[in-house]
Amino acid sequence: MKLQQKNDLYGFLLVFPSFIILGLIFFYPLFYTLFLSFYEKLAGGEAKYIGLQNFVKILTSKSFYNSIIVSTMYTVIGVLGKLLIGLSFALFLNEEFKGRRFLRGIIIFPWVIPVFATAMIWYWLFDLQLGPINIILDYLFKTRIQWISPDYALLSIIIVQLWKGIPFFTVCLLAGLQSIPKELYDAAEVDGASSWKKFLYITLPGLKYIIASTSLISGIWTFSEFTAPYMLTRGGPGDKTELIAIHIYKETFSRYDFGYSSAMVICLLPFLLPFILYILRSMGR
Amino acid sequence: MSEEKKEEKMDRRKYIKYVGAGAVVAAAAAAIGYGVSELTKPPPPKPTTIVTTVPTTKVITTATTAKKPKLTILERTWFADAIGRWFEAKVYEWAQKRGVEVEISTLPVADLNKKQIALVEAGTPPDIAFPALVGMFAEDPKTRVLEPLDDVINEIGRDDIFENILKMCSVDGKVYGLPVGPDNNILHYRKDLFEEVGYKQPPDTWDEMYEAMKKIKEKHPSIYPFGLCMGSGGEDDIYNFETLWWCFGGKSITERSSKGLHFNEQATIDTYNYVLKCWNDNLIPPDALTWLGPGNNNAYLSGKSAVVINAPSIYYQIMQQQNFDLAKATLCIPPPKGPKGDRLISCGIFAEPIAIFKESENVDLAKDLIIHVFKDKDAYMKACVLASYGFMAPIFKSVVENVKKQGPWWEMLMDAIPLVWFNYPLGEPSRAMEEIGVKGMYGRVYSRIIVDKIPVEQAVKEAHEQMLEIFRRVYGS
Repeated sequence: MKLQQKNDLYGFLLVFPSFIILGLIFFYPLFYTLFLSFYEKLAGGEAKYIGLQNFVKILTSKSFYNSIIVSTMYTVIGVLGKLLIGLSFALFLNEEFKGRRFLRGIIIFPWVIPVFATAMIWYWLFDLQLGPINIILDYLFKTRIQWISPDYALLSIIIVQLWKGIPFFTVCLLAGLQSIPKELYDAAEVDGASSWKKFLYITLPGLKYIIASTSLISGIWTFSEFTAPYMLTRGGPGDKTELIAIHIYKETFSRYDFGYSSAMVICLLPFLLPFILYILRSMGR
Repeated sequence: MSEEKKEEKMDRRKYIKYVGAGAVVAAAAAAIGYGVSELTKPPPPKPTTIVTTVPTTKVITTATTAKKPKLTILERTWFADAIGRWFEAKVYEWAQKRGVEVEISTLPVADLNKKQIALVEAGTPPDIAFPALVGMFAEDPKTRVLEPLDDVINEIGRDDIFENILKMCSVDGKVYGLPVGPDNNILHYRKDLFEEVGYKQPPDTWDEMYEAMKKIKEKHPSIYPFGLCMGSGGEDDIYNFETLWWCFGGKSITERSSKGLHFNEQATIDTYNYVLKCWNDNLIPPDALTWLGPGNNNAYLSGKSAVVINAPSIYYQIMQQQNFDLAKATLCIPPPKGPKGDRLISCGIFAEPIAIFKESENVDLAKDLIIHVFKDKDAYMKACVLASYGFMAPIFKSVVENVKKQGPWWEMLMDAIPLVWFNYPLGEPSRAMEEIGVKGMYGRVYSRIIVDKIPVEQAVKEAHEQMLEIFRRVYGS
């Protein structure tokens, strides 16, 4: 065997155990889900082949499309909000001022709180009678808002998402800002560029790839979010906040038909695949 | 590449060779060692026989010197600690007497259901689940994985168990679980507020209740007298709606087919119209449409509402908080009658039964355990009923009589027990009704009427069509 082939073989043998583990925890569930989506599989019962019936039912279901629309709105508004606010915080924390280090530490605080604790905190904050937000609103403006009402429920869960997700954007963008050479700003200063022009022609291009990858990763996570929205609203009132993950969860644990649930997961792939492929390509570059 | 680097690469290659060879040798030695130990293991001793008190001619065989038989039990966490402590104490008492090993895993109830499903799917169900998903695991013969418990019920005393409660775990004439104590979702009633407006006794009908609530609202504008859960979270909204609906003559399911669904009927329309009337008169808190489980509890505890439909978990909380003023002002009573004199209580969509999986290797032991736990009705009464302030509806008639002796407050609470139903009037488990409940379909109708402002009849018809689809899918006709 040639030297190069031997080297390759050693390398393969060394990564082989990891490949087996990856196969067991990633590829096997994926292919089993695909396989199950063509069956009717009730809990405790035998799987019955039904072809594409599950897909037909899902793709003709109003509630499935409603959950896609709700999830899309939740994701687009949430990610945009996190990006804009996160960028503002990052720009602010990039400046030199007293207490900067302390603030940089505090900003991560919402990110480290467990999701269920976040949901409990906000459930209380949003309460119509006892929640501090409404108490303050009542004191200042003599009004109270029903946060988890049909009119505001989606906004409420977006607010929670923003609170939890802004630190991630801030940290990533702050790292990106610090990698932009200061000389570019100095040169722009000498040329008489305004702050806005510096931001447009130096900062934004410098952060281009970080903004793209952070937004896409956050988008994928946000689109499949479950815990906090479920704990706050259970997908209600009605189906106003029934995100796709909540919809799949509710269908699974009311029908107990795992074939149908698997088919719903497969139907989600076309929405997420382009983003996943883009990220993989960017990482390759 | 330099000579030094080439040498380094050669040494690394040798190193990898030696490590790999060492790993192969170690694995081979381990395999040989295991094989040798299996071959030289002493044979298991012959089992001895113990006759138990299970009233059949079967005997239970246990090995006294080799491995003890083992029972795995999946148990929920209980609202009142006393219930969990009672169950575990009885289990370990029995286990010690029988020489059986028991393993109890305790989970929150929401996780317990998922865990049961996962274990059944994996082919490793526990021996006993408490509570078990009887609708899922017993209703359909094709997916039935629970053991019938008629012999256990007979031993404990079938005649002493309320028939309406026993039906909650019955399918095709056989009982697949022992409902330990369905939620007794009575009315928590602020007698002080009602007495203020001239009602010395609780209103007898829902129409009288409406008039009384209006008077309370006039006297106390900041109070929303009727703390009705109108959310769609698939929790308290289910039994809040069903209790009212059944009092108005409504029927959840009469048979296991699409003909058994009776949602699009006058009783349903009357019920929603009644709620709409209360809503329009500001008798219901404005955030009730969004309430999840604790919403109505908080409304009553904070004094925002004068009447809520809920199990005495609220009263239990009042006592835990030592809010004795509120406790004195609270009665736990059956609901008022509907227009035609109907008066029923919904326990929700789960009856909280203890059940045995038929794949268990120790079915007879599991049955013996259940008999041991529930035959001691005095302990059951103290832990499940008295310590939890009647959170669970006692299933034994004799226990109800003993509890009534505790005083008039208990008498009123116990009067509700014969009214507690499940999937009225069928009274038996139904996967279709479970799915309707879990999806919060009753609550969604409130949203359609109040938020989307569509006529009640249209909203009810829409919901009926969706429920019919579920019935047809589950029952095939």
